[in-house]
Amino acid sequence: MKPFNDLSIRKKLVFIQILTACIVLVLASVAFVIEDIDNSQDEMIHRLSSTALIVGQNCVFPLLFMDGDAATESLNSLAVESHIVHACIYDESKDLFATYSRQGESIFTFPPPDSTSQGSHIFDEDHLDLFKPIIHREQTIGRIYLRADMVLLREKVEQYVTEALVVLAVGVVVSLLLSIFFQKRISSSILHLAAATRRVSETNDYSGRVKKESGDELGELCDGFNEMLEQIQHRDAQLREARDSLEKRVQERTREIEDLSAKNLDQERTLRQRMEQELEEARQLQLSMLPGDKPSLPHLDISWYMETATEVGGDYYDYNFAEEGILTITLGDATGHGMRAGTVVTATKSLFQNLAEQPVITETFRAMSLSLKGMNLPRLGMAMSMIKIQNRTLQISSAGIPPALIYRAESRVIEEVEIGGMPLGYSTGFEYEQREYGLRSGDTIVLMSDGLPERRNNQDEEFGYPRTQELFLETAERTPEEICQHLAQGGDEWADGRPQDDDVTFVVLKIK
Amino acid sequence: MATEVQVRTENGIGILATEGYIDTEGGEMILAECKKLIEEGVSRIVINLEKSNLINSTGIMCLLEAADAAKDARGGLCFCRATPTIEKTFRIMGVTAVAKVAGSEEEAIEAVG
Repeated sequence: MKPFNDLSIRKKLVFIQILTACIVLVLASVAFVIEDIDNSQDEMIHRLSSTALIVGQNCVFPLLFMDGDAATESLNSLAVESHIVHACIYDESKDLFATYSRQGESIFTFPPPDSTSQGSHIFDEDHLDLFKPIIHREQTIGRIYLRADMVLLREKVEQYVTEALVVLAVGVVVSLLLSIFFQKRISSSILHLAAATRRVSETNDYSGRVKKESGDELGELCDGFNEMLEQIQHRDAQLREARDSLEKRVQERTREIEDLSAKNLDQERTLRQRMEQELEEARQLQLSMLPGDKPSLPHLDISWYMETATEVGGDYYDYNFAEEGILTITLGDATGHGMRAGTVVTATKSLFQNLAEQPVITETFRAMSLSLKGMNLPRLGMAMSMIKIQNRTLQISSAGIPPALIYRAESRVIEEVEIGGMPLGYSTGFEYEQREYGLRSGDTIVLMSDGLPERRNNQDEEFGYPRTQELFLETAERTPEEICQHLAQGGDEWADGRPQDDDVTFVVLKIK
Repeated sequence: MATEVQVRTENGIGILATEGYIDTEGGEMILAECKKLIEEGVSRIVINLEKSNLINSTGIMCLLEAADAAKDARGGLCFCRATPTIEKTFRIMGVTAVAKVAGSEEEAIEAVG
């Protein structure tokens, strides 16, 4: 069975009304039955008193003349009163004078006479005992005692209870019918409200209204609900309108941004294309500064390698072969990037072509540095190494570029030629150092820019000088071209896909 | 990572602590701080490179210029806590001809003092 709180409002109303009607009817019926029983008892006492008075009067003379038979005969007339079970007459001295018992009754011990002058009565469970004085000329000459059974009273009580139950049953049925009829008038408004609430929450449709069926509090509730729906409907419409307006504005703004983005994209694309074109031109200019063919010499194998970075890095290499059999090779790296570096490379190329045949490298450096400084390009210079090879003698000087490496074929050891020197173009007063080395067959020289030793991987780690030497040693017995490729491949493997930050350049010479 | 430079002065010696890649921008920042110190009369300068392990050629040109400026002001410049690679680059590019290189900051202060 459902708890009372979970019952529908309709069932609650019916239940309350029936319960109330039942309680009222039961209470009323009980009251009526009690009243009827009380009245019946009074009536019984009254009737028995009247009978006692009549029979008592009939026994006056038998008492005066002490005629017991006449008294008994008077008592026997009580046989017509079937509810009287026993009766007796007491004389003036309160002795038993005459008795009567209804036919079929067992022997009965009569009680002592009542001494009250008015008489008395006693109800016990099954009987009514009544005492009355017998009065003659205002003198009590005897007493009469009557005992009546309660059959009649019980029959009446049963009748009253039956009638009360019938009334109760009829009342409950009538109450049920009335409550079913009247609860509809109350619950229908509430049910309509509940249905309307459910409909609104399921469909978000605020246009519906609840029909007002009464002018009571439920009617006010319907009015309030309808008013609330109207306000929500109004706000919903405003909200919808604002949202539509906002969406429209967003769409317009999005279109504007898309148009602007497309326009910016076009401009950016054009700018990028122009920059790429200029960069390509600068790269081509840089490459055009490089010698086309390698010198073919009987005692030397030469190879070179350059991989430019995305931005023009300013690496440069060149050679000059003089009639006296002197091969001059240079490898440079302009400080900085881009067109400014390209300008330095162009100037350096021009200077090298004019000064390459000077016999002393440090003098060439001093002259080149003076010219580059005169270009007034702040913080731009040319790091450079330059070697001269004649027969089997190597002269070398360096200006701010990584050390040259010489592989000694006989000992299979790499010799690092570290010569400190400021980049050309920074200072006119720097004293560059020049060294001289003897060479033997199989000896191999590597000149390089800082592109390989300073090449970084995705962990931002530099390749470094020790690894560069190890890489060179792995392949030092091979041809200059193979050495170039091995060094370049080693750098690429180290970078692991990270683009070059700077140009990577090598010049490799092997003594035959 | 952008270069950061912390500057402090101790006993008339300007001490710069750099952090990050010393490229063109970083080099110019260090040079500007050095010139500012020299203008204030502090021409003995220490540059602590403990937190800079990368430098490019333009950055070195700026450091050369800073060293020359300190020297011109009758002071001097000393680098300390440089990585072996940077120390080698300093030697290669002639920085050691115009500036000193020390192991610790205390040694660098003593070197310019």
